[in-house]
Amino acid sequence: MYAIFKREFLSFFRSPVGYVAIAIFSFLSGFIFYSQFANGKVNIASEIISLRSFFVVIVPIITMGLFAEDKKRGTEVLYYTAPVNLFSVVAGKFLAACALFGVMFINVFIHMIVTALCGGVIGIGAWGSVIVFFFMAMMFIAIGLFASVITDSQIISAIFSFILILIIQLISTIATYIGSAFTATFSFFGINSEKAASIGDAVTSGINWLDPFAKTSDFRFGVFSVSALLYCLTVSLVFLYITFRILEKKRWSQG
Amino acid sequence: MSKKTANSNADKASAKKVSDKRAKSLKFYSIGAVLILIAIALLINIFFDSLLGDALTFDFSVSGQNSITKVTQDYLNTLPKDYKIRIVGLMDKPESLTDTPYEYIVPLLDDYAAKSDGRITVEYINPETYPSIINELDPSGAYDLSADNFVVSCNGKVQVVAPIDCFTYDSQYLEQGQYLPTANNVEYTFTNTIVQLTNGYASKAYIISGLNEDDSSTQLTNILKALGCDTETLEVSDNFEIPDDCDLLILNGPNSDISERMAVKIQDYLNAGGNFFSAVNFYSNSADKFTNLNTVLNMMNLNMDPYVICEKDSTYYLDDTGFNSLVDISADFQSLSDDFSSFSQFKSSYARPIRDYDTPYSYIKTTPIATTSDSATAVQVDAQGNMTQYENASQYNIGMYSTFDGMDNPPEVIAFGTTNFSSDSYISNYGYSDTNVQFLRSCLRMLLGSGVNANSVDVESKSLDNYKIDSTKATSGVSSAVLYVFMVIIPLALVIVATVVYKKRKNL
Amino acid sequence: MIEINNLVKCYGNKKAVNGISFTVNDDEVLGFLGPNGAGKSTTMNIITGYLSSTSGTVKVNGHDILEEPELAKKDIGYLPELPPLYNDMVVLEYLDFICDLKGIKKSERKEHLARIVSMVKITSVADRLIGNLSKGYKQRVGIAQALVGNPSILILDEPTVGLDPNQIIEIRKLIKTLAKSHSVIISSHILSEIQEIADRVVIINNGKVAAVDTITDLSKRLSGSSRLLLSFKGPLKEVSEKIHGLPGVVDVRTRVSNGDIHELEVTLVTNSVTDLRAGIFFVMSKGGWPILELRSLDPSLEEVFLSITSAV
Repeated sequence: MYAIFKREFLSFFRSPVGYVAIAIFSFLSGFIFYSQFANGKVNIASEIISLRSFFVVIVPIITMGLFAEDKKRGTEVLYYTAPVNLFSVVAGKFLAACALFGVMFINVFIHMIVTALCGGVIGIGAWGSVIVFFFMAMMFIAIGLFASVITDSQIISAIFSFILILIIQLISTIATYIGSAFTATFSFFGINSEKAASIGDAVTSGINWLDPFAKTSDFRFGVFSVSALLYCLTVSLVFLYITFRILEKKRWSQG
Repeated sequence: MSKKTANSNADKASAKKVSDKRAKSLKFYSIGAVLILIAIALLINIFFDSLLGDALTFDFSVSGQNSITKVTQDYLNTLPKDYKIRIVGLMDKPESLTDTPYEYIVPLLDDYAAKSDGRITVEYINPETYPSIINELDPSGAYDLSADNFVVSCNGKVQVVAPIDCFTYDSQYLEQGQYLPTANNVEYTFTNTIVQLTNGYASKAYIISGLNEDDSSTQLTNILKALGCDTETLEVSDNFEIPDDCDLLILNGPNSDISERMAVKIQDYLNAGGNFFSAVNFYSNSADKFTNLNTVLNMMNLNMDPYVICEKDSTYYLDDTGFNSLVDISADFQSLSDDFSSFSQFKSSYARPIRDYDTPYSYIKTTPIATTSDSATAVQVDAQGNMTQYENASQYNIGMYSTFDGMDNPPEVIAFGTTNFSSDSYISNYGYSDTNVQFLRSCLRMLLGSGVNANSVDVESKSLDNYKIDSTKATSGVSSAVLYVFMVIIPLALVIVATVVYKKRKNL
Repeated sequence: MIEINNLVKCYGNKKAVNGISFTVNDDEVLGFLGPNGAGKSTTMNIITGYLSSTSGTVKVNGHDILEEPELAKKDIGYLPELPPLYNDMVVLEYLDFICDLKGIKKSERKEHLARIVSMVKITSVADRLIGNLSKGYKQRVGIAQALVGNPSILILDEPTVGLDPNQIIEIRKLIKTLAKSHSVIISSHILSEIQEIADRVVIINNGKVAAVDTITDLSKRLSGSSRLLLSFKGPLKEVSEKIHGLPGVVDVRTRVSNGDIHELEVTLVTNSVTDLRAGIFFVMSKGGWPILELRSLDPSLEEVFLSITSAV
């Protein structure tokens, strides 16, 4: 696993991909930081929270090549014929992408230092947001990895992970729509409108429960909820496992 | 030939059976494993969330911004389990909380609901979408329920809480019409509202108004209400009377003297066992000797002199002028009640000295409350603002307490020569947790005596997270530097490094 | 040593590999032949663990590839048709990565890689980017990758395709050297190459093993006996009788006669051990008749191959 991790991580810096990703992150985070700084009030927590919306662009760029390129280059065979466990291959690539995020995040740490030097406050909420950032990054990277393994084309993998991440960001909106759709359908079938409304609401709340953004929204205020982190971890693990199984499947495929 | 083909066909079929079995079983195993994992993941999460979720939520926020304190929790636990408190926000649930008052309100209300064991429900119903909610909460139309406010409804009664009331604001900014919050009083406001609705008021205070006061004692009112004491203003008039239900009479920061009639009425009130709180400073009212007020105070063997205290001992200084200084809470006063044991000093500002008058009635008992050092002086200021030292160095009182001995239900008077703890601007600027303000609260509690609501809850206000940066260090130069470094230099540098590395390796 | 037993691999209804069984012994070179689409690459992929068979077993040095994959794979070095190279890595970086994958200890690495690099003769390009190398060097890097970890078994899929004749000779030399201490399975279309390097061949056709044997035995099997062709200048009858008299000669027949230059076809006993070419030489030199040509008429591997693969 360490071998794969090292190779993938370094390869980010042998091609422009890694540098471009870090440059984009620096630009975006710098913009957010600067606009706060110029106003005299710097809340690192809100900066980090705003950065989460950029996952939808940055993650696909990083993860699109992780598996898709291997098929093209013919290096897939190495994973199957070397005495390594396929899951450690998946884990190695996953950790390499996470490590790249870590490097990108150094930008934010520099922001924190500047803030501290200028007498600003780095509350516990800021650290909470840092934790949330990394856990959610893990989750999205796992999804991006999954998108990368199901296709040979980097572009398709990028688009697919973009769509998946977008859906997760919009869960609350989607939940409302689906809930009202349920309500409308049930009302149409003659069920009492209050009951239909409550069914619709139940559906909406059910889907909303899946929203990681809602679960982690309190971290920026310093309220750490272990179950939210557990949720992100389990989603990551599920996607990593699915990726692993898909890799296995290629070997057993009957055409 | 035909046998051969027949055999080979049979072979193919049997081999196919084997192959299909193995492939099929693997497919099942694979899909099954994934589904089981997803199911396990969901179960673990649901289990964790519902059973352990709250237990494993840690509020590390320094001021516990979004959690109710033990005080509120204990109070809620004393309420009957089926007691229903309904909090309705007359708005759509705010989605984006940053930089709005809702940032401190919405999460805290969620905490109320979560920790009340079913007693409190929090809803957000926009009256524009559901106009019936207004009628539902206030059938008699007695209250002014308007959108964007919160309504607390319990015990058959209703009270409106406006988000703006949940904070104290910097008074200087307020003068310019800007709201710069200085303290987070959301929990304070909501818990006290619930307490008042549930227990009602145990006493009533009247605050005299109409003497050119600097403010309308709004904050003092809040503190009294939190003590379970209802308040009402008592206007100055030619027909000035003190109502029978007055448990505490308050004179807070007047800039002109009371009338003779008022003095008489107050004396009658005191003789009947009333309680009086007086706080007068020496600032905008420096020319006034408050003769009539002193008539009242003299009755209690107190007198408020028309001078301002100037501290000379630098260890008591709060600034170089000596007019803003620390004073000690006297040990005698501290011994009057446990409430005062934690106060040792008090911040004073532009204070008049209060002293014993020369009435030798033995039944009058006076106690100094707050004293200066032995080196303080009293200063006389004339109309042109010229100062002449009036009295020499000695110890002065800036606040005294007086009561009658040997009587059932004696009158009690607390007279202060400064408003540096009861004025709106002080309380707004320093918040309810400030020691001066706490001291005020203890004094009021003492005066209200049994009139203090047995169930009154002392909720601390929370300090706000202040994200200001030091503008002396964060100059515009630094600001531009930040802009250029992060948005231009670093990305550019990275792109250059990328190109260089790429080119170098390409030619390896 | 590899034991392959009744391998079957299905793709939908088509059986790419249909019951292949054979063994590879220690320190031998096994040639793997077959027309395109016969199932060679599929079989090799299954042996190395890249694909999984639908049924059948592969045992590498006693370890089943499916049940003890890590132990089995440790003993195999594989060079697939498309060498698994990362074009964005430098050769040494790449080999270092392969060492990581195969679990070579850091302390032994430098020496190990130096040895491999010199064996495969890529020292001059060791610091260059793989993407910039010529096909020949890339192929060699691929072989180097297979050699990492010193596996006892090497499986090379068309290792010389696309190389120029010089490079091909180099590679062949290398393989021959390696064969002294490794088992090698090499698949190729170039029959002459297999003929030269391989000890035994397996001929695959339509997913089945068509023939397994040493080359000589194969051709012997096909022709039924060994034959030599002698072209000389001299008296036909005398030479024919003299040759016929040599031990092991079954028949002597005249093929072509042109003045005093004649061509004889000499049939030898099957399984004849002695090399009669020496005997013929001595007979001819004693008689003073110059030998113009003396060669074996046994079917070449090509002929064997064609006849076998066209028969089905």
